[in-house]
Amino acid sequence: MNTATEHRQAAPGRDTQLCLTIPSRLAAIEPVCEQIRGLLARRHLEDMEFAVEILARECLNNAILHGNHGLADAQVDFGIRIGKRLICLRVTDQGPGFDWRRTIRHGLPAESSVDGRGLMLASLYARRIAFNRRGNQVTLWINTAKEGR
Amino acid sequence: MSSYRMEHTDNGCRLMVNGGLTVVLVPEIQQALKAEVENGAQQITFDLSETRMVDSSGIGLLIAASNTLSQKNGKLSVINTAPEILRLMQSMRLISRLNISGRAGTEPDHE
Repeated sequence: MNTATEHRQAAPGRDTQLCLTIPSRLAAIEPVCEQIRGLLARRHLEDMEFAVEILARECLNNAILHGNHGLADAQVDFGIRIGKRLICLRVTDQGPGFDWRRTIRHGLPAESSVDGRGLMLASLYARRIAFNRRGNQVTLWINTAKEGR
Repeated sequence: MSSYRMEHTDNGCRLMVNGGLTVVLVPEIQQALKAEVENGAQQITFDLSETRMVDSSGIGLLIAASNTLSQKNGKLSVINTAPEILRLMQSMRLISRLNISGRAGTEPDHE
């Protein structure tokens, strides 16, 4: 991926880690997902591919479209750490942050609503979701142990 | 890279999505479907036999298409859905609303 800055990969020890800074463009998402699939394959976690990828996509979509408001010269930081029991994803945008408390208060969207399902979808696959106080960074933890999913 | 192709049928069209029905592809498909509905399409079928990923934007597109067709007494169907996508749609309680069926041997449970 020639437009991303790669900070670290395959940190020493049991955890596998990748940190990227990507341009705030939707076209930059696919190469990140390719790297995620590669990391999971190296850790023999191919059965986690769908869950991890859909979470990464949702977070990156939100960061690019809503967090950075589609500003092409902005950037998004993406990190994934694959541990023995948990996978941790973190996405940070450069925007002012969104009011995640309000989104949670609103709950599920109406059945016919065409949007507002991102957080609901994330909660299906993530064991825990946390936002920073400003609302421009989301961290998700996913169980790798089959019994914990 | 994801792509789609469209085939016209007697009363609408069939869309085959290769790769992901995701935010990158959704605006393009949305435009194409809008033109189909304006031209009188009553039945739109999404064939997901080559689709490995759907994000919330793709789900939004399916719901919007279903809403539009319902208003015109038309119908949306989603066929050949991969097991992982089928489970996602089940969790979101969209199987009946979007007329979703799985690949051979992977029919959804009742909601």
